[in-house]
Amino acid sequence: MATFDKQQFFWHSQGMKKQSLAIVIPAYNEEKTIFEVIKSLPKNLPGISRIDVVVVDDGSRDRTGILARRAGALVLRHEINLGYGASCITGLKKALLDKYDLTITLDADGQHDPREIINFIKEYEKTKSDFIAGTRLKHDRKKTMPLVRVAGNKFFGGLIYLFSGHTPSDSQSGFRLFSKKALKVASQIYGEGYEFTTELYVKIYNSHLKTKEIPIKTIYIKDKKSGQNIINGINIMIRMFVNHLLG
Amino acid sequence: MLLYIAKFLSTFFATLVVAKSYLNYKQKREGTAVTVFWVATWLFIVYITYFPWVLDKVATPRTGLGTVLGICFVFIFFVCYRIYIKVDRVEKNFHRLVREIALKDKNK
Repeated sequence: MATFDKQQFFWHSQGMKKQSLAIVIPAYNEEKTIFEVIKSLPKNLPGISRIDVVVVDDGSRDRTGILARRAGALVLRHEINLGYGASCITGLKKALLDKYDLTITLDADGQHDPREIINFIKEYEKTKSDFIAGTRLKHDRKKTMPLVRVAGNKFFGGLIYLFSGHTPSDSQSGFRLFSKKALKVASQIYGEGYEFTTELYVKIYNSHLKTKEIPIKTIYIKDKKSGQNIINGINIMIRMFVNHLLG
Repeated sequence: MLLYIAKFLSTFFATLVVAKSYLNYKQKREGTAVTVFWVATWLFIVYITYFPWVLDKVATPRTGLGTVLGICFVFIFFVCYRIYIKVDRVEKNFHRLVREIALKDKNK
């Protein structure tokens, strides 16, 4: 006997067009977490008729690609390691080529809760924002983010402000939703490393797209080196200045 | 004293560049023209540091050695800029190529 799905009924009754969603996961040597991350992604979402998972294996030397494929994801492999930004761009380009209505990016190390994807979809349906960013700092009453990262975030926020006149509350979060319009803008960015994240906000703000932030939980993994150090921050700043000076 | 440092540094860097250039030429990673250019350039630099009075013929008391060095700095900045542009272009092309392979080989 078929079960009654309230959400599906709501969508049909509202006469809304169902949309396709690509979940892009950039991954580099994440064999410990990638399988679980993919398996814990939602299979059904309100208003979404098709969900595809695209893992960009950024030249991993472990079994990341094999495990991602085994978990049912489409795997795009960089033959050599290009960096976080390059992996994001490859995934976004794939979503653009396959004409997905919405694209969500999240990290492969399990620091994002896939159950929160529904919050992005709901926010999109409510506000029709082109770019929705998950923020770990907004409404983070428990102050779970380490101070160094808060300081780093402020630094990159200032850098974004310098080039766009806007400051996101958490520029370094990898949990984001892109509409088709935002996807077009984001896939044209050139930034192989973590400067992609900073560059992304600059381009999105300068394109005058509708943006929104929603609070997300973050699971900080012990013994896992992530984020950016000071040297990397300075490097990003120099690269951004050079990129903007040279066009 | 400064002249001795200049002599030492120029000899040291020239030896490195000439040795590397010769090795690259032997391994056919560098063409004859490029090898000749670098060897000649560095030999000239070493010659200048050992016989700085040669510059007096080019740099008269009116122009001064500072002017010659200034021109050298401008040239070096120009070379650095060109190298940056070229490396950046190669890197971008390289990324594009890796990405295109990744997008094409999705069914592999």
